[in-house]
Amino acid sequence: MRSELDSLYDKKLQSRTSVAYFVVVFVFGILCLRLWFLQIVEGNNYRKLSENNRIRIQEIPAPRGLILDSAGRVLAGNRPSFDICLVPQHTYNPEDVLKRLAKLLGCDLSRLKQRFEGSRGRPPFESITLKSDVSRDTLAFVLTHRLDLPGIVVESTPARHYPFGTLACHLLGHMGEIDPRELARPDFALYKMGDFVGKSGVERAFELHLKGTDGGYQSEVNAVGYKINIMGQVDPVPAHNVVLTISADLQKTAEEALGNSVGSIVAVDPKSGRILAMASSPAFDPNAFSCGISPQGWEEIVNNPEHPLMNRCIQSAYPPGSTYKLVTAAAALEEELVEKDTEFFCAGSFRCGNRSYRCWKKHGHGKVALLKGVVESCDVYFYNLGTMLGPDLLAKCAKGFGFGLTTGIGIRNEKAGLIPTSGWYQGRYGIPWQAGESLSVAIGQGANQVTPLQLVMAYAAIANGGILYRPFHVDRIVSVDGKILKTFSPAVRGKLPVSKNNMSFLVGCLSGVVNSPAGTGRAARLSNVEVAGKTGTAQVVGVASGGVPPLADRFLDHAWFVAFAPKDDARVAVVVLVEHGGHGGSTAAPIAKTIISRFFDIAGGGNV
Amino acid sequence: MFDRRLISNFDWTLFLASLLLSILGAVNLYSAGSFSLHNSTTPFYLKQLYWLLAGLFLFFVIISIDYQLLARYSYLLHGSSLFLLLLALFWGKTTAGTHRWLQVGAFSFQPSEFAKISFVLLLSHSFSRSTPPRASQFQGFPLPILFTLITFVLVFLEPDLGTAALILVIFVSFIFFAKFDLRHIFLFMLSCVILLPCSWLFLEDYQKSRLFAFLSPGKNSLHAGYQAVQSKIAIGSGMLFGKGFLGGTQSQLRFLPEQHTDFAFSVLAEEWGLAGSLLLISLLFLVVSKGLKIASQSRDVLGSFISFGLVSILFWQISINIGMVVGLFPIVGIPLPFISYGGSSLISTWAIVGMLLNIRMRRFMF
Repeated sequence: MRSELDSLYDKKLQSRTSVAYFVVVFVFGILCLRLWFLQIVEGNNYRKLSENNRIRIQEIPAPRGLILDSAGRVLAGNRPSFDICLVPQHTYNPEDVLKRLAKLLGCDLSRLKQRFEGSRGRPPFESITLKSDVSRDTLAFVLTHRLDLPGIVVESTPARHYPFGTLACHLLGHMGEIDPRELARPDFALYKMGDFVGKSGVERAFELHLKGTDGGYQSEVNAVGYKINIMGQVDPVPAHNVVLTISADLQKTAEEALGNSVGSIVAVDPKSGRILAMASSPAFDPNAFSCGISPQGWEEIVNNPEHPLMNRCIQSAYPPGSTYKLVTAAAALEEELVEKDTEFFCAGSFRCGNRSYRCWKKHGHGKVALLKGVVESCDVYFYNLGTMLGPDLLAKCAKGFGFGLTTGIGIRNEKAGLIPTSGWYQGRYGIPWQAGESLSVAIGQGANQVTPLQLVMAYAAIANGGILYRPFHVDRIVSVDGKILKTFSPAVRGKLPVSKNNMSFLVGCLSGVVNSPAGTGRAARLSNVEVAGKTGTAQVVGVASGGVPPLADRFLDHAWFVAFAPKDDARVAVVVLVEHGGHGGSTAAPIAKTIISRFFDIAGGGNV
Repeated sequence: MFDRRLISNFDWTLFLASLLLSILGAVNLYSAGSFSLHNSTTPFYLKQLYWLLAGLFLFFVIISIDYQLLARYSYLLHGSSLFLLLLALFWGKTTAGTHRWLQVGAFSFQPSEFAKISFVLLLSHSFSRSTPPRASQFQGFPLPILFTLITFVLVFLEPDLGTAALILVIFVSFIFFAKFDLRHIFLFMLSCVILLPCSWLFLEDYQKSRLFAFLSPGKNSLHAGYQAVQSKIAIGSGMLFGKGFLGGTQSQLRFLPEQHTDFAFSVLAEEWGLAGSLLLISLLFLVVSKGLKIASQSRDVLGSFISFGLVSILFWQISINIGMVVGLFPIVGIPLPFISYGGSSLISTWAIVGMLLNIRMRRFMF
């Protein structure tokens, strides 16, 4: 039996169902009316739209953000690249068109065909890029023959352009087609296959700022693909510009000074850690990558034994040679193992165990105190300090100078270098630290490895009174309308473990290296500013006592020079490394001099 | 045990209309999916026919179980639906950033398609037991609301905006049907108005752009508006008698997005014109009105509630989907019952038809 509740409710439900019935009839009626409107009233228009015309979505790529130097010069910009494309829907006999196009362009038919076949399965109204970045002549040629080439269209896309060519290529980085691994990253969600992204340097690190948001428009095109009506448009959102700390002028000077030799130069502002120039040689031309590099071009770069893609300033570590003596001196002073006037006698060699260790000066320096030891770079003096210090005290001090750790500049694959300790030695070789090693590390040989950037940052810290800064190469990010979105400010990594008194003494020693008559770095002397610095000659192969150094280039020593100026209120610090360049004093010092003098030319005011 | 009256009350019109609609859907899929015919995978229309067989099987299972029994287990049924939704959310197959699918062996299905049916069972069960004739005070209100919210949130998170909206619409339909006090309906509307802007925060970018595209087609019309424009062109160009089977240029040249699923109706309207679309709509109307009739003539309140709820699922899906492809409604992913490609959708539609017939067949059993 129906329950009482049911029967009470029955009438109400009945009336509700009839209301529902009317709602259904009403809604279905609206749908039918709408269909009648679309298919009968507007039917002819829509029929035409579907037959002759097609609605297209065409992307308007957002121009990539610019990379500027500190003075606002464009280091990386955009230029149009003209691509020859085929719209399969608008062609009758693609085989024939491709054949004709190949003949006109004088290129390989099979490659065009390959491109065409590779796009099978896509809607026929989507264009297929057959050849990208053609020259203006080719473009004109194709356009005049377009009546013979149904379906061929020219599309213009922005391509990355580096107006200064190789200038600062390692900092700027290069572009490349996005790879599947990058596509899978969540922050790359808006990217699609075939997009170009930064592959190294600033282009990579600031990709998400440099890439704007693509816009596009919906257009109506006629049967041969000409736009006849734009139905809706979304403007691209422009990207942000990245302003670097480097100066194109100084960068150019640095790169020219290196010339064809393999090596690197870094110039920084000691008071902030701003990179003023960062050059690594050999360089590469990032323009070659902008539209996808040719296989031959890639082969050439990859097979170059000097690895032009490598940024030697940070991705390569070398023994610091005598430039490291400053650290040894600081450690010995701070540990109070020697006084400034403690003297040792240099007879040209030093015995340790049953081996004799040479000083670079065959006949010896005679009586040597600390000042003379640094100025004339006496090895024997530092052998003595090394023996007294041992590896671990020295390593502790070196860590305080920032060695053995990455500087944190924010460029990928930065090397940390190596500062050996007794523990490291035991782990590496399985035997306890050897006394002779203390001698090697004291003069920056042995297992010591530093990057040029680490070295210049350590010297910059000496120059500014002991603050170890984190270097940075991007000054700010600016929107297109000039609004500053982000500014990068100096960051302190730590303080040098050296007292004020000792620091100013060491600065005096460094000045002596350049300015005193017997100094090893006299080649860096300038008349208008007082330069302070240190030479270094890092051995590539051990030279047996009294032996003759080998002559082949690849066994020649690396030449170092690291300096800052003016001595008392330093505004620039520079490191120069020339691989297999021979002596630091003769090869690297003159280069540093060129850069320092150019810096004061640009900045103005030498006699500070 | 077997009662002859069961057979005599079997509604052949409803059954045959549903069958005809399913076959029309498969034929339409033959055209909509013809671009993939040369592929080695099973074509859409064939798969859809397999799903139809599965759906018919489920249909016969359902009509043989008394719906009162099913309603008694509705908490268990809906509980397991919710569990499957949770499972899909955390371990489901991810397609285009959504977690709507659960993979079982070689098959994957959408738990949300079944959740909406168990949801209706649950609501009917609790409403029919506790709703007083004069619904000025109600005891049975908090529990259904709680279940609605849980179901809504789980489906929304997947994210399946369309089905989530459907859950809410079903709930509103129930409130209407149960003839609640106007004050309560007003209260509910008010809370919806407050909740809606909040849900904006949870919308994915693509969902927002679809809403924008609907609200201002000229402005943000790129990809989101593209679908709507292409669909309208397809339908409109069909004119009175259409371009003929396999003759739709919009669909054959693949201008239509999702033409085998959500936009299947556009393909049909392009190829069969106004005549074809009206025939389809009439068949759908037949199913809906038959369902409403079952709701008004069932033997008890429970049967009325269940059949009304199920018909409202069908009705809202039909009107939202067609409304969307003809450009009267923003694009949300809701399939057209019987016509859109999809195993979960077709099988759950047949489960609904089964439940309706189940109730109809037992209307004179006391």
